Amino acid sequence: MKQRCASLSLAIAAGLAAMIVTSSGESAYARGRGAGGFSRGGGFERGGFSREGPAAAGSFASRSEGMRGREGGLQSSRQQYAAGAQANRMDYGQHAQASRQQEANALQSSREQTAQGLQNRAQQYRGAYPYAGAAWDAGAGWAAAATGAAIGGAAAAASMGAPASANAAYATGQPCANPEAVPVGPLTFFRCGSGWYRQVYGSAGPTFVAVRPPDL
Amino acid sequence: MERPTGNLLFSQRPTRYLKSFGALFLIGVATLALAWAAGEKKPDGRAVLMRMADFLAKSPAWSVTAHTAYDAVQPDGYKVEWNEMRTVTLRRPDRLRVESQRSDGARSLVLFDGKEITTFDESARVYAKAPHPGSVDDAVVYFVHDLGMRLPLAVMLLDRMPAELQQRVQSVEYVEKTATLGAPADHIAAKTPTVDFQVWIAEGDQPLPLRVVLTYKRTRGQPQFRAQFSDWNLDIKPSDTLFSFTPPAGVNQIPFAATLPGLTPAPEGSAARMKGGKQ
Repeated sequence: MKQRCASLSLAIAAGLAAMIVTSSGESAYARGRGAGGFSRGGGFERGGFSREGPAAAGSFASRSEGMRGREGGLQSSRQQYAAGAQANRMDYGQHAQASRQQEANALQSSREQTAQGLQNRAQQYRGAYPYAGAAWDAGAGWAAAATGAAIGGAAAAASMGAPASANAAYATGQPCANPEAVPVGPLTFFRCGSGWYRQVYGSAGPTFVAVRPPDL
Repeated sequence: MERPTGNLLFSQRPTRYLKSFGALFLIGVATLALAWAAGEKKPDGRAVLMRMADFLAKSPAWSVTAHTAYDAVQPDGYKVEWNEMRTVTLRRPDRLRVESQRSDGARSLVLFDGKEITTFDESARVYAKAPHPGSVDDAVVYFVHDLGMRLPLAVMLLDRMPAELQQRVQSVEYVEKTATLGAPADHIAAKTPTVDFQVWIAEGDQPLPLRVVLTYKRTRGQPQFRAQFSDWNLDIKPSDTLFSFTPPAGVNQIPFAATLPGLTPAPEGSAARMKGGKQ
């Protein structure tokens, strides 16, 4: 009886130990991911997660394949529509040939009507407007600043001798730890060793860009 | 005169009743069919969208608060949402004020006074300005296109909003009527060559956008930009001072990046380049 009790106790103890080990492993994994599940460090160096990307522009056009003129857009649209219709037609293998022909005719007619309608409406609104047909808000400038023109992340109040931001994370984008401000005429340059920088207002906000050394 | 027999009486009345009942039944069915057909007919999505655009473009002054969010797809695939709050005040033809606050507390301002467009970063205590006399349309396009600055939903600020949408939108679908945004609204889905978007537009005589969702369908991860509008006010008379900028003490002026000679926009995914020539 005593042996049975001992065996049972041993088994229960082993089970509890296994549960504790498993649980602590999960906790360790969770802690490694940060208290909120994500960490600002880890794979994202220098300030954590990036705020940048095409969606930040909030525009009704994207630079990924910007509208290169209204006609280009329309042509592209027609081609996409035609390609889509073609794919759909191929999927309708079980349909009768007559049905496919009718559908193709209808799609062709629809495409022509759609293109004509868009053309008419665009002409109705087109005026003396330099950007008519252009995706002027496609975010080229945003992408430029977002992909490397900026040396710092956002602003560098400390480097300007201005009061530090209330939010430290926002004011960490200095070109180096202690940039030297060098006035050159009306301009202010910043020197970090042999590197020269200027603070500019980019699409992501104030930032630093590397420039050629000024004439001193 | 021979009186009708009981059998005849009973054989004629049911026929009359049957005819009357049949006629009434048919009328009822027809009425129901018409009502059903009328109820099922969807509004024209493009017409609803353009009515909103026309209304907004013709409103002489308005202000609104927008809670916005956008996805930033990280290099390793995480999709992170960033939030901002914006208050927009517009007075046509040539005054604009956009106050923004990011989720980390950073605050900024964009002002147009009919002559200059200025952007101010309160946290960094710097501002940039550029002369550009003209209308809000001119200034907004110059700010976004020529200066490469960020101004989400800039199209919605323009007099030309209807034309811009007509030029870009390839197709529009009416999704449904909805009442989850605090007021009855029409839910519209539309496509442009590069961006799909949805708009929830208030029903009634003030067809204002209540919510916008943009999907960048050709970008990796298909990130979205979302905006929820509140506190629309079309009955405002903002003074000129609201749109003018006086730099606070200790604030420095810096140039717009786009105006810095020699700096060229970098291709997506690469570092910026410097052209020859000194600054």
